[in-house]
Amino acid sequence: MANNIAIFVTYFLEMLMAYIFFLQIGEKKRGFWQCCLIGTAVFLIGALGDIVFNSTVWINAVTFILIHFAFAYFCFEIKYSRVIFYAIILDIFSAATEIIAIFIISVVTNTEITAYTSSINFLIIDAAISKTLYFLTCLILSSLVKKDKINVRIPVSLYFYPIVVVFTFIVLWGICANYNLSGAYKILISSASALLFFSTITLFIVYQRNVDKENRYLILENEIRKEKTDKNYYSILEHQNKELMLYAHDAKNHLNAIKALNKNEQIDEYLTQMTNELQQYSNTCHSGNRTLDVIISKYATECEVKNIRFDFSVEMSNLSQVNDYDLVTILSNILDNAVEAAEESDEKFITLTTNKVNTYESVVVSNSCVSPPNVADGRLKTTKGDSQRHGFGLKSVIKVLKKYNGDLDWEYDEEAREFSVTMILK
Amino acid sequence: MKIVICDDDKVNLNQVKLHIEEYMKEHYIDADFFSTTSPKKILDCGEAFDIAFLDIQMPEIDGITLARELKKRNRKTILFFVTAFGDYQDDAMNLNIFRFFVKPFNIERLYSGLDKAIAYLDQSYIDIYLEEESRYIKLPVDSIKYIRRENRRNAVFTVNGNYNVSGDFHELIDRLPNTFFYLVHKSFYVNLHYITEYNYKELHIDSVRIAIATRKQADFHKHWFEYVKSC
Repeated sequence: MANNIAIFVTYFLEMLMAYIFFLQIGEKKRGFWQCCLIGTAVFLIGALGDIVFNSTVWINAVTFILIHFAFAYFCFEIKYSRVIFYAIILDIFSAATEIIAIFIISVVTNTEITAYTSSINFLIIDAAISKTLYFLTCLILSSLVKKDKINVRIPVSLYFYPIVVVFTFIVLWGICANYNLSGAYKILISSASALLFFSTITLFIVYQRNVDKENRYLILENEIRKEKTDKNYYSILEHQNKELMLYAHDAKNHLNAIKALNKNEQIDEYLTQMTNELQQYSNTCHSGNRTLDVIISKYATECEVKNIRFDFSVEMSNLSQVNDYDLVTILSNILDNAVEAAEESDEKFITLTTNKVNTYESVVVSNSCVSPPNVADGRLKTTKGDSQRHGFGLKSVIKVLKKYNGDLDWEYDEEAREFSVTMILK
Repeated sequence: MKIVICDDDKVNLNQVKLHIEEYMKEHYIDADFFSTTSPKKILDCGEAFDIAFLDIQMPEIDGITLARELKKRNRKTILFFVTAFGDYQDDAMNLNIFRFFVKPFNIERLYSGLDKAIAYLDQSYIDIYLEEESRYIKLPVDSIKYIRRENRRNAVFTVNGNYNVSGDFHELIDRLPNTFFYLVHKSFYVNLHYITEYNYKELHIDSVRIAIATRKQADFHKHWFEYVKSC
C-alpha cells in the first residue's frame, strides 16, 4: 500500500517537473490549474499502469514517453516532432539519473548498491535524490534547447539550489545507513527529504509564474505607452493639418480674388490648376469627426509613400460616439496590420468603409494579402517572430469593441488574396 | 423600375444618368428615368420612385428635404446621395441612406452600389401568402421579423403585427429566402434585418431575447458578420 502511494506521489511530482520543463521550451495552451488537472489525470493513468504491470521496466519506459507526449499535446503549443524527441530524451535522462543516484549513494556513503530496496525510508530518499538529479538535468536541457519563446530564463544561481538539495539528501542517506537511528527518526528523515524535494519543484513553478506575470505586465505597459505616443502624434498631426488647411483656405481666397480681377485666359487656367492643387490639401477627409479625419489622413499619407492604394468611405458613419483614445486603438491596430500585409503583396490596396447596419455601426477594413493568416484555435496568430508582443494588437481591439457592445470577425479570400476585418459597435 | 436623378449641375446630372442607363442596359432592367436640375419639379410631380440619386447641396430645396418627401411616398425608396466634398451630413443619417458618393464619381463604387440596391429591391418586393384561421394574408417577406414554432402552429411576428399561422414550421420557413433569414434555434427563424443586439450566444429583436443554439453559434457568427460586411 505504502509503495503504491509512493508511486502515485512520484508520478505527480514528475508531472510538475514536466510542466516546468515544457513551459521553459514552449507556450501554454491553458491556464495553470487546468494544466495541472489534465497533467495529474494523464500521469495518474501512467501510475496505474506502473502498478498493474508491476513496474516492468520496458513498459514503464514506453508509458513515460506516452504520458509526456499526451501532457505536452493537451497543454502546450510545441511541435509534435519536438515533443516526441523531448519525451524520449527525458526518458533516457530519467533512467540514467536513477542509475547515477544509486551509484553515487553507494560510493559516497559506502553502502551496498541494493541498499535502497531494504526499506521504504531508503527508497524515498533514493527517489528524492534521483528525481532531483533528473530535475536538474531537465533544467539544464531546457536552458540549452532552442526556445519557441523568449520568456522565462532561470538564472544560473538558482541551479545551486537543487545541487545543494542533492548533497543534503546524500548526507541524510549516509546518516540513515551508517548510524543506528530509531525507526521514528528514519521516517522523519525520509519524509523531510520528500518534502524538501517537493518544495524544490514548487520553488521553480512559483518562480516561473512570477516571471511570466511580470513579462505580461511589461508587454501591457509597452502597449499602453505606444498608444499614448500614437495619441500624442495624432494631436500634433491634427494641429499641423489645421494650419495647412487654414493656409490652403486663405490661398484659395487670394487666388479667387486674383481670378476676379484677371482678364487673361492663360492666367485663368493657371489659377484654376493652382486652386485644384490646393484642394488636395483641404479634402483628405471631412467626416465631422476630427480624430477619424486625422487617423485617415495619417494612413492616406503612409499609403501614398508606400505605394498602396487607399480608399475610404466614411460618409455613412463617422464613429463619433467612440472616444478618441479608443478610436486610435481600434483603427491604428487594424490599419497597421493592413499596411504591413498590403506592402508585401503585389496588388497593394486597403479599403476602409463605415456603415450603419441595423442598430450597429460597422467598420470594414480590407487589404491585399499574399498569404493566409496564421490561425490557431480559431484565433489569429501573428506571422511575425515575436508572437508574445504582437497578439496584443487584436486583443486590445476586441477589448475596446466590447466596451461598445461590439465584436469583430475576419476572413481571408484565398482567390482574391484579400484579408478583411469586419467590426461592429454601438 | 422608376429612377429619379436630381442635380443642379447639368453636366453632373447627365453623367450620372449615362452611367445608370448603361448599368440598367447591361443588366436587362427596364428603367424609367426622371432626371431634372430642379428639385421643385420632383416635389410637384407627386410620383413615387424605387431609386433616387440626389445631390445634397442644391439651391431651392436641398437633397435631404427632398429625400424625406420621397421616403414618405415610398418607404422602400433607395437613396443615393451625391456630395461635393465628402462632407458628413449629420441630419441625413436617420434617413436610412443606401450609399454616399463623392464627386468626382468612382464608377466601380456606383456599380457595386447599384448591385446591392437591386438585390435589396428584389428581396423587399417578394410577397408571401400565409394562412391564418382559413383566411389568407399577403405579406412582404422582408416585413417578417421572426417566426417562432409553437405547438402545431407558428407565430409570425411582423412589422405590422403578429399572425398565428397553421402548418408545418419547416414547410413555412422553406418558402422564405435564406439570404437574410437564419434558423438560430430549432424553433426560431429570424430576419437579420431586425436584429437590434447580438452577442455570440444570443440576439435581440426589439426587446425579445432569442438564444442561439450552442452548435449554431460559430456558424451564425460568420453569417452575421458576412451580412454586416455586405450591407
